[in-house]
Amino acid sequence: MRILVADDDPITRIRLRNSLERMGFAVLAAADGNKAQEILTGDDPPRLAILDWEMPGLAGVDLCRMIRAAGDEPYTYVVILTGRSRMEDVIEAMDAGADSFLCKPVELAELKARLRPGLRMLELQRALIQAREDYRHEATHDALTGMLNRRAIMEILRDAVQNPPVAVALVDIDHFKHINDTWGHDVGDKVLIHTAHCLVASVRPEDRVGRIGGEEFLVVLPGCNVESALSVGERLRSQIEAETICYEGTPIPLTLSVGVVAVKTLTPYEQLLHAADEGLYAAKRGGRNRVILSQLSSPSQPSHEQ
Amino acid sequence: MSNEFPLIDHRFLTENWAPEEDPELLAEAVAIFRTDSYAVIEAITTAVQEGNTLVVRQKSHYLKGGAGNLGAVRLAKLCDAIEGTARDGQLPSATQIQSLTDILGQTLKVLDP
Repeated sequence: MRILVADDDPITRIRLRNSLERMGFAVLAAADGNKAQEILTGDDPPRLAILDWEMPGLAGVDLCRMIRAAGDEPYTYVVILTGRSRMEDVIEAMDAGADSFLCKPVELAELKARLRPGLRMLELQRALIQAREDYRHEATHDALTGMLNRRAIMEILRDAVQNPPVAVALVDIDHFKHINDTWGHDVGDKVLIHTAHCLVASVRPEDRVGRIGGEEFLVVLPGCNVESALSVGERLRSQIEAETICYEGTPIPLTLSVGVVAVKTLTPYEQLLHAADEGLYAAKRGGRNRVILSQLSSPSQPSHEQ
Repeated sequence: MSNEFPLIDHRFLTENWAPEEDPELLAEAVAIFRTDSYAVIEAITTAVQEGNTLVVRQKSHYLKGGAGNLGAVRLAKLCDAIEGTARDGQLPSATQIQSLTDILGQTLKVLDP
């Protein structure tokens, strides 16, 4: 655990550095308030800070007020260090947002005791943030494939259409019901996972893949024009066809039908989805294992077959 | 002031500097203190001559911090008294300033014989 010691007195810095390092901390030191501010507001700041109340530049209590006003997460646990010991001083420091208060000269035993609640609080917050992020992930991802779920990919599509050009590919696994009926649902699940991974591996990092229904995936392709959208669609199709998935040594035939649409201007996302769906339907009707580009102007009449 | 408080709080030194385990750390701190302190006392003396209570307060506060950290209780208490006087807008007496130099000398004799 990293900790900041900010004090203009070099002897305090030497002693606290030594004591804290013996306690297992990695110590960052600052000789004035401005340097301390730089460290605490920089990238990946330490979560524990011991700040001298009176320092050249910026006083520890003022720096503490600034940190609290910024309200950043995760929390910075602040111990104010001071020669003052009156009750009013303690109250002023705590009102400034300090978590604890240490009178100088610092006694090592008290320093250890004052840091313990800080470590407990930081650990508690770490666990809470982790739990929240886990729930957030669960709420936005499909549990089986790990892809974005319907709600999340739709939100991404809604944002993406605000910045044209943009393209989407609507992807459906051919004869998925037959796979489930023939090989069982466990194999069906494996096919879904395999397909999801193939899709992700076939697109750019800025493209997003979501599972929007049983065996249907939506790929959002920001910045793509018609040509690149078609080529992405074709890459998805050929990749799945080429990569054989086996069950107990027997290959399972696997192909995709893909509906693709690309727009250069602001277009409601519903229209884009509708057009992609028309393309997908045309691909199915045309014999499956193919990519069909839809034109937005005539969504009911797919114009291009590849 | 001279005998009211112990020159050095040996319990503080032992518990906070562990001089048996790490004598070099304490020696390093005392060396910094020696270099710093005479310059600080000089600055306080000049500030007293100029009637600058702000500088007197800041410098005596700084010296108090270093002294306290080394268990130099008598010196720290004298600094605290001077700081309090300056905070009230008063200048320390000539005797107090002389005592600063005297007590610092005695302190360093014990810390760094």
